[in-house]
Amino acid sequence: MTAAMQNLFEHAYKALRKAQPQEPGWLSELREEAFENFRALGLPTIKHEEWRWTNLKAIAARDWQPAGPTHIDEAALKPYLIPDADEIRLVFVNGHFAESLCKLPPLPEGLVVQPISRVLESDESLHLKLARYAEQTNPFTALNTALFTDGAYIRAGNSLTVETPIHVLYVSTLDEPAEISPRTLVLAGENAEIRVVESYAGLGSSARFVNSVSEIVAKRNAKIRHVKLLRETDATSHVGWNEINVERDAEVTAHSINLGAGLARNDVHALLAAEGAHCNLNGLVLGHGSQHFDNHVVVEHMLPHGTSNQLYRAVVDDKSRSVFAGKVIVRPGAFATNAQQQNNNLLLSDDAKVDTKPQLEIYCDDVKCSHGATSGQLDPNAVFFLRSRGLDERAARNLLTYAFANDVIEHIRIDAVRTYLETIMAERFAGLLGG
Amino acid sequence: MADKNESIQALAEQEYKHGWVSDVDADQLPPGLSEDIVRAISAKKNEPEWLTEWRLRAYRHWLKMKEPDWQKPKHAKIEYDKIIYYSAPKKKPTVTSLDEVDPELLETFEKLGISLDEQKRLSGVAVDAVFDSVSVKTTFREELSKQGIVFCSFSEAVADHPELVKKYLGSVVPYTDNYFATLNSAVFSDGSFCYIPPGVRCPMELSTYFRINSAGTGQFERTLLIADEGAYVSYLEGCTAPQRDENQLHAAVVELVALKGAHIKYSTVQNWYPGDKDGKGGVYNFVTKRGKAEENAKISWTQVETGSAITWKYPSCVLKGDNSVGEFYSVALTRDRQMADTGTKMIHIGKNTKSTIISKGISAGKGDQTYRGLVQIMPRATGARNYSVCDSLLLGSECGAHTVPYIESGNSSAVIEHEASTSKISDDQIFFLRQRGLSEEDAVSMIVNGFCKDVLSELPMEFAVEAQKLLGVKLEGAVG
Repeated sequence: MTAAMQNLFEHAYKALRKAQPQEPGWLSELREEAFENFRALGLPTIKHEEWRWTNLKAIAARDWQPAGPTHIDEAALKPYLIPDADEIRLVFVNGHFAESLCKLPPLPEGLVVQPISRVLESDESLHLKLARYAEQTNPFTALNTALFTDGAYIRAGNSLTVETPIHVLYVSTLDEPAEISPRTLVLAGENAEIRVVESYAGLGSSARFVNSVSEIVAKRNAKIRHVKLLRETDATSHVGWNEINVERDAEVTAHSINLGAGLARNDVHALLAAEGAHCNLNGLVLGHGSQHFDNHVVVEHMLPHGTSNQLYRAVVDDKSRSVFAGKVIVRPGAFATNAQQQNNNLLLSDDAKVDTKPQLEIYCDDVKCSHGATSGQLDPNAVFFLRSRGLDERAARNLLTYAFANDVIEHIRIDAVRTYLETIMAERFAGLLGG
Repeated sequence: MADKNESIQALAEQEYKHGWVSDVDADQLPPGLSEDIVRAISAKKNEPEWLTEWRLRAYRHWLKMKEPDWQKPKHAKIEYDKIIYYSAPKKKPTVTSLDEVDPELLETFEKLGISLDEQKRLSGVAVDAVFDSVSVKTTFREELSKQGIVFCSFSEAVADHPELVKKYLGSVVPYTDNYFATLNSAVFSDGSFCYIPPGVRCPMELSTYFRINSAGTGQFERTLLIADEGAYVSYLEGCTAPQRDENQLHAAVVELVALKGAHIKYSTVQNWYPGDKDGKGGVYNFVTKRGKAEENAKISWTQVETGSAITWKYPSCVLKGDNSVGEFYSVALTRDRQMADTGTKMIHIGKNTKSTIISKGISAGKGDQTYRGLVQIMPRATGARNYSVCDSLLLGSECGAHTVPYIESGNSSAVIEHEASTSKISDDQIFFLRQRGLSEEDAVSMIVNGFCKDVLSELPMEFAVEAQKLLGVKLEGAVG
């Protein structure tokens, strides 16, 4: 490790500690410990098996400073809002709570949607929940714990069903390079049901490093539908960790939709911690230019009768690159586990690249596990068929690409988000609408 | 269910059948490794200077390398200083007649069921039997030489065909390749060499049997197989090893060179000593196997891996020429505490290159196995095609099966498909067969056979029988 690397984020950490003198003691201790972990771990390099296809030079090369709060107009946010949606919205600008941009209608009893900074003051039991799920031995989760300024806290009480999607928008606007660490905590009580959209957007052309961590916990028989929507700028390096904890008979459906970022790495770790836990983890990458997307997914079956499904698809054009590494672990004793994993990749250009590593790690015999991975181009017969129906080459290819990507989108069970994404995709594959 | 558990238990506990030691005086070098030992091995074999230098370069490089530790099966530390790097049977037999061969050796072969005589007479297979390190007997050499085919031990090839050895040695697996291949390059004792001239179709299956014999000897075999333009050869390699308590390291290197339009079929049946029930002893089988295919050439690997405490190898194909084809068919069976980390690498460099991977893993008892494979499509490999299937069958609740395929696609016209499944034998299948009148054991056996069929059918006839027998023996407890 070089001297420069050892000092990585040291300045950012000191600056933040200075800015947050009023924090409760437990949080300071937690941050101290987490940063100690980060110092010990350092940034991974491509020699680490889990990072062999993603180079973090862009992050390691700079002495990042924390981004300061700033104001933006609601009009500037418009493109990132979900149109026509009846939504509950929390907005964070550069990692700081922006109350004026939020939309908080009267909430049903039992539902809490607040910035963590406020919950710190009002809820003394927060230390039992925050940073208790995501593994602190990962350098980026540790770094986030040490550096996060604020983030969303969403908690649904037992047996509460909230149909209105809760939209957490993390937007950054920067003229100088800076680092932003958003933190999200989603808790669904027993039998509760909630829908959460976590979206990341960028304004301005300056380089930035966004390091997010979300902890998503579904208690017994709860249901969570979660979508992570990435629309960062090409100057952004985004590293995100989603820790999903599923308890008995609960179900979590999480989508990670990657539409923009210079470099993005999403880690999803789903722990099926009890019997009958169920999760669906899907993802979509639409890459162009020289974007680099890396999705790592680990599903861990701890106890019997769990099921998990994964569907990850990538469409890469120009010089973009998509990495997928999915792992299903079935621990000893997790009988009658049913785990499926599917990864499909579509290369639209000769300079695009796809790397994939679907893995099964099984320590128990009574299981049904399978995975599949494909990589290739559009089926020439299908293109021919559409052309014979009167579509031109471009429209035919766009239609097929749209259909390929839509297989992931159609699994999203938050209607407004699905419709919105379908529109975005239709625009992206513009030949489709033009006919 | 109780029956089935018992039969699986029986399968898992069955003793190793090929465990014995034959008392042949071995001419050994002292244990340990140094430049002197490397020179001594080279001197004992009367090698030319360029080869001695090559070994030394490898040795010096090896000193700078670190033993890899990324593999799934972790093993006890190998004490490289305690390994005897060279051991040769003292009475070096001449090769003119069987009478002059040490009777003890012949007996050993008979136990293995590969009587040279019988092999010669019945199956028309030429056997270059490797006993420990020095080639004992080469048969059919004369017949083969009529067609210009060279099939001999590696040391003989160094003496008689130095130009071929010099040209191709290390051309597929360079001495810097990996820790174990580099070690092999420094200390390899002997092995097989084969050259098929242009346009010749080798009239018989070539075969080598390996046996690790002297206590504490590592075996460092080196095989070099060259099929010149338009040639065809089918090569068989089979192994059994006697029972030992110490772990034995086997770090072999196999290099295949398929020139324009050539076709090489390389088949392996491996049944080395797997260690006892508790995982004590057993062979470490860390082998580097790789083939390079030029234009229109084809390389096909077939392996049946049932032995060794740890099997760790990835027979690979470098598809360098346009339209070249690579194939990999594998059955791996692990039981007791056996571990396997095996698979293949298909490197697509040329245009319209094709590769097929069929891997079947059976894990019983506390066995643990990993399929690890790489399919890499280079940017200029337009029209490349890969199809992979990796299935695992689990017998017993304490075993493990893992699948780790790496797919790297750098060309938009390449089509890659990979699928894998892991499951136990379904109760429905057993129920169906049982209601047809089969016993539980027969049902299990039939399902396992069906599971492996795609791979076994790729083996040459003579070998398919042996492989089936081997799987049968391994599954005996389960079949009753």
